[in-house]
Amino acid sequence: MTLRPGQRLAVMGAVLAIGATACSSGGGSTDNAAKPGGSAAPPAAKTAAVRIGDASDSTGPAAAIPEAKTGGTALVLERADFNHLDPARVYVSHEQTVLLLLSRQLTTFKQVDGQTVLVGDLAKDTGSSPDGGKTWKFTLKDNLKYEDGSAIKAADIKYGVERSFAKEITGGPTWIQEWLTGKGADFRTVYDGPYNGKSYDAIEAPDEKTVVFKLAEPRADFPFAVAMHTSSPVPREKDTKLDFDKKPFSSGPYKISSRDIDKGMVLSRNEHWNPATDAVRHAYPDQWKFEFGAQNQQINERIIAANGEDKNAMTFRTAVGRESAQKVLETPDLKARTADAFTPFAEYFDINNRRVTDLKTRQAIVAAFPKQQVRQILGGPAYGELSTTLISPTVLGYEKYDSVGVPPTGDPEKAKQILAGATPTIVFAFPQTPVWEQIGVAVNEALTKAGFKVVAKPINDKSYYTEIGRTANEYDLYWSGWGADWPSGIAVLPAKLDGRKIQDDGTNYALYDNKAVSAEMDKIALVSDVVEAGKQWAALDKKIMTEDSPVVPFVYRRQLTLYGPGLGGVKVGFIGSTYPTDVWVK
Amino acid sequence: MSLSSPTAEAPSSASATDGSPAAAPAPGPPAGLTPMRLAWRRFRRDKAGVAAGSVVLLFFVAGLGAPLFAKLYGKDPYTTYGQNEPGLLNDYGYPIAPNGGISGEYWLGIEPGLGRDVLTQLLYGIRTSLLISLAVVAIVTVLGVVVGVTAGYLGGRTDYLAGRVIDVMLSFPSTLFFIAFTPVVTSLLTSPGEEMSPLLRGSILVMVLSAFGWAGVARLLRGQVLSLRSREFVEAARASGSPPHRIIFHELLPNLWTPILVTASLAVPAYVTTEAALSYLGVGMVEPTPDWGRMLLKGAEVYQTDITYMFVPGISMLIFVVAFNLLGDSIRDALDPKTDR
Repeated sequence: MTLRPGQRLAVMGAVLAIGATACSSGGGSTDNAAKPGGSAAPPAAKTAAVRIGDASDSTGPAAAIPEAKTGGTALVLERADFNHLDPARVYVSHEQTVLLLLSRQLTTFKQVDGQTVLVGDLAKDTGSSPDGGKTWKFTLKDNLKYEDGSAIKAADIKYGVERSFAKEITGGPTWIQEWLTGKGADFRTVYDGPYNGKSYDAIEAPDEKTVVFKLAEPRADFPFAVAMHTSSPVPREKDTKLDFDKKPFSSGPYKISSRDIDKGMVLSRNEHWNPATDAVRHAYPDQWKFEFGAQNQQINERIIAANGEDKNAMTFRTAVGRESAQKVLETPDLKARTADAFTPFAEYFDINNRRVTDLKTRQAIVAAFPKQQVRQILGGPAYGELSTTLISPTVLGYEKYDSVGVPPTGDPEKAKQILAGATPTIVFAFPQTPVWEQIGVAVNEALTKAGFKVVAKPINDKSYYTEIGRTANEYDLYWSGWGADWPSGIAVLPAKLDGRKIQDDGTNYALYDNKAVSAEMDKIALVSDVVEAGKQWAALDKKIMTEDSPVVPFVYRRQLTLYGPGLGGVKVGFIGSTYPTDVWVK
Repeated sequence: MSLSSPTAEAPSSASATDGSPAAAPAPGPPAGLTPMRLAWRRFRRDKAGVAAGSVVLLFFVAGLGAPLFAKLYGKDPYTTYGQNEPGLLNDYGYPIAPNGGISGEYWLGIEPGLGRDVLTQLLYGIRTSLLISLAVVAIVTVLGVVVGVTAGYLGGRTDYLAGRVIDVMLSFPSTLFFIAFTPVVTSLLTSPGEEMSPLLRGSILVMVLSAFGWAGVARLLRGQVLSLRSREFVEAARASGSPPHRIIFHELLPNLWTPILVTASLAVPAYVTTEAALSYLGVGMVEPTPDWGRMLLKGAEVYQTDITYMFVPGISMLIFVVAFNLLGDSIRDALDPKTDR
């Protein structure tokens, strides 16, 4: 999933806030800036934070949270309504988050002491493969029920995956479809969904409790892929095709009791959901209320004020922006009401490898790039942790390294040495927003100091991704964000840097094409042990950066969100949004 | 700040121009003084006008002398001091010292985020705003006078045509047009691989603003000329066989100076705010050219933590606009004693 540049349109209040308070009080003591920590210190990024759980991890119910109690209504404030609710069509983090309440998958992620553990959700464990990853077998738990009390059967999972092949059902991830058919993005040529009466024999449901997937090639990551919502069960007779997107048939702990599109939605308890079958979801509140339409800043201000109903408010994806990060983090009262964690999103400044073909030039860009200055404009440590690697600490096998060894402010002298007197021209493209224009200034200054000639090129914010996604674009350096669909190198490196995936509107924005690296990716994709594969992805990550320097790693994104004083158990989950699964109303 | 074409609101009292030609006796003037000297004398007696005039003069000096001042002061508006020197900005990018980082070294503080010097940004920002608005006012006035006087004097079909064009221009949604049109021009004039120079960008702004601004001036002057055309002294000139250009330049224009001067002086602050508004909306001057509109935009964003940064450009602009408007009023009063209070 790609990330849009965070554009925040500040609403201009009175030009002169004459009635406002006196002048501002300043940002505190000098040591705050001197030491990178200070009160803005991010939670430490944990390495090796991913583990594959076994059957005992997968057994419900989820461990009770001390103090937590059942009942009450929790309120969720979002800027816009959910575009999709059909489990086969969701791909955006806040949509995936709400579906945690409305659907269940074969596997899912559980947070245990800061560690992300893959566990069975509908399945008893994370699946087994008798032949090194080509065939995957999942056995369902007992007593699984839909919102109407009927049983969840293996055939419904088969049908749920099958309908994700249909051409009407767009927008969702396509990992499972591609791996089953082995045809890549052309998977519909093999099978095009159940709506014309055909079923797909690569997915088998020999009995009510067993579902078997026969892949075209071994894929050790398959248990991760079925944690995405594509594997949600859908009973054939309840499939309303496109209307399913508006009101999905729930297999999760809640069901939609009313929905007014673009205004609000109310979820009420699915009485047939059995907590004993669920290792992850708690479902403490009786009701979830959603309100759409407020701007990000408004949402944060409402939660800060916490009046009336807003006392129990939270938000899935509205982060605390740079305009109020300092206020929130330095007011103990507010800081106590924040959920703060790293997300799977990593951000880069991609170098156009088709235009900047000289390795020395690319290395010099990496050495001179002012990461810290740029992050300061975006909000400092609240924005994320400066990075030097391609894959982030939330990914299995992550290993820290630094391919150039320069301070985070960039080292113009070192870059000059690498350039050895050359003065290449670099076209730096960025979305035309006030914040990015300022970033343009900082990047321009740093690269100019290192001997580059910089052309700062603002691009219309709306068409930014289209522009930099053109393979024939005329820019040399541009920002992009990438979030891993699951915590494995295969969800990052091939998507971002496989030369065979270069295409218009593709995700290899750096246009990096190294045959040896692509071959290595294919090799690691077939390693049957995910832990071993993790190590190899990390090694490939280091090799790419050391030998080719195709991008400038920028930050691992952090998500800082506020919630009302009436809620407990609010945490940032694996998807990078604030999770509702442990929330309870005080 | 209003985005409407500023010259549309012409001073109503301007129509009360002293109708007689230059030689006509004004009510009880001391002998031997020209009307301009008389006006100057009246202006000097107007305390508010003199004060406003001095403030405006100060702004002009500050803006045009900004580079010199920056040299003496030892800072420039482009260097990111806060990012280069530790101890000026905190982790979040806000000034560490209170009141937006105001100190002996940075007299008006430093900018959050990039850490540039606010005082020099402000001074260079005045220069940007003033140069652009003066250029627009010059173009708009000349164009407006030419079209307005021609239409009014010739009358008939020319007047009708010009009148309709002016109507269209005045009813055009100019703000929307600026927002939609500026990026198009920008991309037409620069290739993806090159940066647009601030001069070119400024010229585009001037052109776009002028394209709509002249209509108001033209309409005002057309009305003035229509009423002057049938006055005795013009009739007399025509009867005595003066050619049209002589009538326009020697009979009409001297009587039009008052409305022209008044509209122009009131248009300057209006265009300063319009330019700032366009920059605020993202279609004006871009980084790194210092600009008040963008400073205000940033101020609106950071006001929760650093309200000083919003006050500085806000108060400056308020003072400037009020002073310039008062000056415009005083000029009108001085030139047109009938409206004297």
